[in-house]
Amino acid sequence: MATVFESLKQDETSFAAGLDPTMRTAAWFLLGHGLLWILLLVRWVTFGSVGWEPFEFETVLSEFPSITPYLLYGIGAAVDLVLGGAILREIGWAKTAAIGRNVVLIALATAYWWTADEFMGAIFFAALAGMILLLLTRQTAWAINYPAAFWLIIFFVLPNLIVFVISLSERGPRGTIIYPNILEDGFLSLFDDYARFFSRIGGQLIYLRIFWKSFWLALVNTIVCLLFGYPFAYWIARKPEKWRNILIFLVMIPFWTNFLVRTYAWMLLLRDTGLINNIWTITLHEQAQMLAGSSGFFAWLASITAEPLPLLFNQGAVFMGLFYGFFPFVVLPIYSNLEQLDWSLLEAAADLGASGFQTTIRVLLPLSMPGIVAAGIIVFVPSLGSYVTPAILGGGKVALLGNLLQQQFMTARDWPFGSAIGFLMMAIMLLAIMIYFRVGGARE
Amino acid sequence: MLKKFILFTTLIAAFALAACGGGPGGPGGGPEAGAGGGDGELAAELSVYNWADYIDEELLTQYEEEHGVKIIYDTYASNEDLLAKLNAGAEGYDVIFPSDYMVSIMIDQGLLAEIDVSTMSNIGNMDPQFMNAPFDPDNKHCVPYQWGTTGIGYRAGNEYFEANEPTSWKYLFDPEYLAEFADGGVNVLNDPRELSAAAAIYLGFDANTTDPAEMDQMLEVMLAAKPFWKTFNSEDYPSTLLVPDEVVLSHGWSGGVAQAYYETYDDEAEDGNWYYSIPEEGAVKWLDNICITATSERYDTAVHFMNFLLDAENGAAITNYVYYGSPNKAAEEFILPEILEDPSIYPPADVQEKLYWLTEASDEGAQAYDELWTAVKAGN
Repeated sequence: MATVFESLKQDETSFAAGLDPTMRTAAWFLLGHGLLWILLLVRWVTFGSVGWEPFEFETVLSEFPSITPYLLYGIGAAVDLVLGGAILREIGWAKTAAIGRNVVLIALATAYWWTADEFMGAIFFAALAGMILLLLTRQTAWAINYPAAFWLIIFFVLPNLIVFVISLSERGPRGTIIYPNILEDGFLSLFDDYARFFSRIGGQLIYLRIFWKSFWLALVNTIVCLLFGYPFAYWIARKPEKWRNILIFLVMIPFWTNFLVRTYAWMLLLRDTGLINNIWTITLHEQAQMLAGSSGFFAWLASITAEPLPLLFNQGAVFMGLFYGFFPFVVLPIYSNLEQLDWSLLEAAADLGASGFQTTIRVLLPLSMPGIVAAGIIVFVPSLGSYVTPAILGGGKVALLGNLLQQQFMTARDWPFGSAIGFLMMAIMLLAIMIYFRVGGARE
Repeated sequence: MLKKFILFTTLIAAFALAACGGGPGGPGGGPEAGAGGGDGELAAELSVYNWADYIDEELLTQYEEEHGVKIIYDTYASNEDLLAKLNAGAEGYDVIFPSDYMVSIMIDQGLLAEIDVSTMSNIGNMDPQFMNAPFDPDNKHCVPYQWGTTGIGYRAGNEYFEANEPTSWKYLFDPEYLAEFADGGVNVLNDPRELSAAAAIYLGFDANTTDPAEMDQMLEVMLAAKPFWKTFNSEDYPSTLLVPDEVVLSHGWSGGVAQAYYETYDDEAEDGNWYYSIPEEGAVKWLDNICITATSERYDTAVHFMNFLLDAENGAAITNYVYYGSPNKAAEEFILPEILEDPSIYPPADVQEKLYWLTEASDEGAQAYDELWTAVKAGN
């Protein structure tokens, strides 16, 4: 990396000499790649003595005749070093040849992926070749954004495309996937699985009911989190600076423990034989029983503490778990918004005769709206798809969208329907957020 | 400068050619370099993928020591997890332990290698009633591993159960019965086929019914009972629900309840807290199997390991550890007497007659079961 930057820096002075920074970077990439081939060759030769952990593509290579890796690495190193040097020396044919080299390498990587079905090795070499190709063809804007764009395409666009294609497919015998065939089935039948979401089971719109349940749970959770989180963030933001950092640090401490572990900890606290119910049915109950004769209040207390409180495995426990899990996600964005707020605006409002209530509603809230919107979305979207909390704290009794999805992929082995539910959820959330921003934008 | 590059690379190429050899030489010794320790033809390693807590791990150590094969041991929590992993293209697992209905799915999908049981010296140990099962005719792919039933586990010492032993599915589905004790908590298995089969047997239907009218009745029964059920759990119910007394009655697998019994075993009282009963209407029986994946590169070693598990003493060691019934007839002389005499693990003949296999439903049936399950989960 350092060499790249150095070469870029040098180029400002040597620009007049003719070789532009893009080309120079491409050349250095090629030289680096040449070095990489040589390193791989060294690895290969020393496998017997060093005992490297083999990469996947090295295992594949070992199945070819033993000359193959030497030829591949040797030719690769030779070509890359020669081409890199040639571009630096501005030899005419070098650029065309280098473009050809990258096209060939991408083709090779694709062929390798196709035949050996190994993704990581193929994508590594294809990605490097793609970067050099962009530099050589002077797509500078693309080259600068290449790592981010590459990441998005490989890990976001492609997986979503795969899920979308599966959602148009059909469940085959025993949970296999039958890919769609437009010519045979017609266009509308592709969306069978989407239609199924709106179908009735036993006369009831079960899937829609699960959706509404999840939707309301997520909405209420968001509102409750905001109601508690906003004053809390406000309180932190008005503290002196050194206290603020300590308090925010305290908010983040729970993240050090895995969420699943924390959820199980709640289970230990809330269950019938857990800490809270032990205090309730043993400590409190015994004390109340001793005093029961003395007053009606203690007799009543003794009678209600005889049974444990129903704290776990119900809707309330799910609510509590979601609130607990998402509370920090509300505090952090609102705090970072309030921290930058110009508090003198509030003083000005007070000076001009606004009451405390008016200041809050007409000055503070509108100013902190971006933080509230961000916090709302951060909480709403994941709580709509929450899976762990209802499964553990709800005792598997409460069916929500997340559990329905899991059920389709695991027990029912109906990947097409599961993918369709996933896409519907995504579409609905996107729509909700778009409407939210439209309405918010119109108001301003 | 260009000349120097060419010279340099030519040198490298020459050096490489002279070096001849190198490379990783296949993973873990590889199939061709598979000369292991002790027995000449065995591979150096064997990858075993089993249910969690489903073997006495001493046996693995014993196999490693006796035959010089290093065992890579990994566990899963459900048949579906196993299938999902194999479907996703996981390679490298040699020996797996799917249940009955999953075996037929895996055979259909070509995930299992064929075996010839006649080459196994210990196959004669097996109880004939577990051989040639409907999901794997002639044992062409698998041999039986452990078997058990799905019934009702209940808290010993509970006043209501002392007077009324829950020997019927009524205690899981009839609101009148449930109202008597459900305050203490009731768990059902979070498994669509198991719970539906229990409802079907309760109503007198075939455990594998796909008749829409019968399934409607099953849904009605389950929805009526659901308010009395506290949890749906089939993963960790013995340790998180039974042992800490979160529930007083649970739909459960025989071994799971036995596990809770032995975990709460009190030496003075010589008794545990959890009893198991097979309901009189009948129950589901199941059989887990030892199979070899189709992608296994260490087939011979896998067969050798399979045969090792079928050994009478080893089969007994497994049962003595996991408390499920062993399909290994010859092992019975080594199995602890309290397990052999336990009617919930080794049921008497008249009970055995009312035990049914779950068979994989047809595709329409599978969707019907999924919808039934969704409706149960979404109800109330």
